[in-house]
Amino acid sequence: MTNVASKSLSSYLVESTKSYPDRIAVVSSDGDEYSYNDLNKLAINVSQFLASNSVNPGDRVGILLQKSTASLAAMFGTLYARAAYVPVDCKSPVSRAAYIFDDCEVKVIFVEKDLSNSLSDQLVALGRDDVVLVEIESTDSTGSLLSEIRESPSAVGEEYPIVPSAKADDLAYILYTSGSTGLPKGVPLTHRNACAFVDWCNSLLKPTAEDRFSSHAPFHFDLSILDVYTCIRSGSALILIGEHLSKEPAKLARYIETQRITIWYSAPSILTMMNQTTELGSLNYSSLRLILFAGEVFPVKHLRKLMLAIPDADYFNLYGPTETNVCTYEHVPRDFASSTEGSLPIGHVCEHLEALVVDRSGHPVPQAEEGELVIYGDNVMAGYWNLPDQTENAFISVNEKKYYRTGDVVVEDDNGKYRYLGRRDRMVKKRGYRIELGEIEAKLSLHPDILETAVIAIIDDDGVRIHAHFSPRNGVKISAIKLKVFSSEYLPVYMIPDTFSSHGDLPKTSTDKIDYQSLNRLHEATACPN
Amino acid sequence: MDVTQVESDIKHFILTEFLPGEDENDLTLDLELISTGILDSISVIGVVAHIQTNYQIDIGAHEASLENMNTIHSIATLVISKLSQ
Repeated sequence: MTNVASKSLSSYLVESTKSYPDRIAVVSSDGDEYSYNDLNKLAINVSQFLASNSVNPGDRVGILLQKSTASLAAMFGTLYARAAYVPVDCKSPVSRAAYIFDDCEVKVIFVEKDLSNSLSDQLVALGRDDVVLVEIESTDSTGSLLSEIRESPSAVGEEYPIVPSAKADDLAYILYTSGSTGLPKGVPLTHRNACAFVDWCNSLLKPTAEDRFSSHAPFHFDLSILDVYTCIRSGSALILIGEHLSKEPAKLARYIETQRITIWYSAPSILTMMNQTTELGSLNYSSLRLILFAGEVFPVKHLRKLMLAIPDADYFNLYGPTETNVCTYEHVPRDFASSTEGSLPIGHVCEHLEALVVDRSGHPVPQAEEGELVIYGDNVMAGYWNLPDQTENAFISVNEKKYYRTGDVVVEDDNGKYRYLGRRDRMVKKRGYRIELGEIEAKLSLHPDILETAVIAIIDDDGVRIHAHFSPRNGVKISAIKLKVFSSEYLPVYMIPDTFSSHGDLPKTSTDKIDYQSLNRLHEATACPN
Repeated sequence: MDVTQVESDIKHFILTEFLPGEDENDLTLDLELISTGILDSISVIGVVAHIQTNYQIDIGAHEASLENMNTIHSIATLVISKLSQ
């Protein structure tokens, strides 16, 4: 592949199929392998099926499937049809999926067979009885996808069609994220947005056809854009990690070894869990050359342990919200494992983007002063789907350029690297003091018996209380008294949590981040027993 | 009344009022209460009110200092010195 800017995500599969028709494109969770030719044919079948069901360029296609070669083929098939795919978590309530598919007016939905009836009912209730549902058996094989599409009378089968090439400003996919209003909001990304990001990944990671990428993040999570498309762009193999395996750290640790994965990408938490459940140093990770992580802050003590266990890989901390995908990155120095550095920066802005740090009124702040990180460039979405007010609030104009407001508070250090300080909306004031809840979490996570923490502010008539939820290592009991004494070693007294509660596991969202909303609801339930 | 009895009473009061369910062995007599956030400014007022009522003594604002109120032992010592006045 050349370094010329790519035109479309679909062109990656077309070009790699031409260059490497017989190389492995996908390894499914059950170990089945599919070549570039296979994946291309599947995608063509899907695109023809969609065209025969009146899906036109610009239309949306829903995907409510477990991760599999079939769901990957559905994504590429949708792109081949110049339509946009809308992947939704099949573990989330069906009503939520129906809301999303109605919101972006999909024409066709590929759906897990056991969810089909209830999705259909929900869509009918929303007045959408015109949507075509394509049932797929819950399996990692593509058999049912093929048969479903071949049985369709207008499907052309295995002929090689002329793939219409998508235009840069065509919509490629819509990822829904949770909205502050409680309703999911759609983040539409065009081929230009996605290709700008993938081209940048390509120049950073320099993958070759010999590489084997992990696909750990679910397809409805923006992390998947990096592994799926950077992999397919370079003719590498994509090792799909299905739902079950993705949450079994001990098995997963061995899977990296047996699949000879060369580029790993995930949220930090699963890496930490693998390192805690498995002697990673005893596994053969000689193939593993890159470990990329994103999605949340990697507690430095866990990162250090990982770097000691897998010393030969290069580590990258990638940062960015769904609206921009990765916009800053940090190549973790090799000596970080032995340093006493208290935190890891989110690093420099990606070379093809521009970043500013602005104050509350949108004016750039001097270097070393904290402010909100805002991002401009080809990665950035044009605006939320059908939400003009939220779109307007999401952007800020500086020097006639439209910057996306990340809502993340950062500071630029002496080396020109950004350091993440926390969410703007997770900043609370208690008795006049400004408190970043993330900072409390970072300090509590230094406790040797604490695996994870989630600190929330409870605001009621008595003012603001800081409550720390935590999950202890091996279920040990840690008293509030001891935790307060420990906290006092790292935090000013006003930041020491007032109360604590211990959990077996902290509640997680479908993308494995801590589910703060459900923790907040826990307190509402306690406060209002009725 | 000796300091041990007063310490025991204050410990019981703090455990009951501010640390329900906590292990009393974690609340040692020399544990710093204010600088660890175990007692905040409002709970310090509660402790002062308790000892004033229980021991029929007056604690001036300047006496409810960090130095005097920071451990169970220092609070008990304050009570004993007030009782002996």
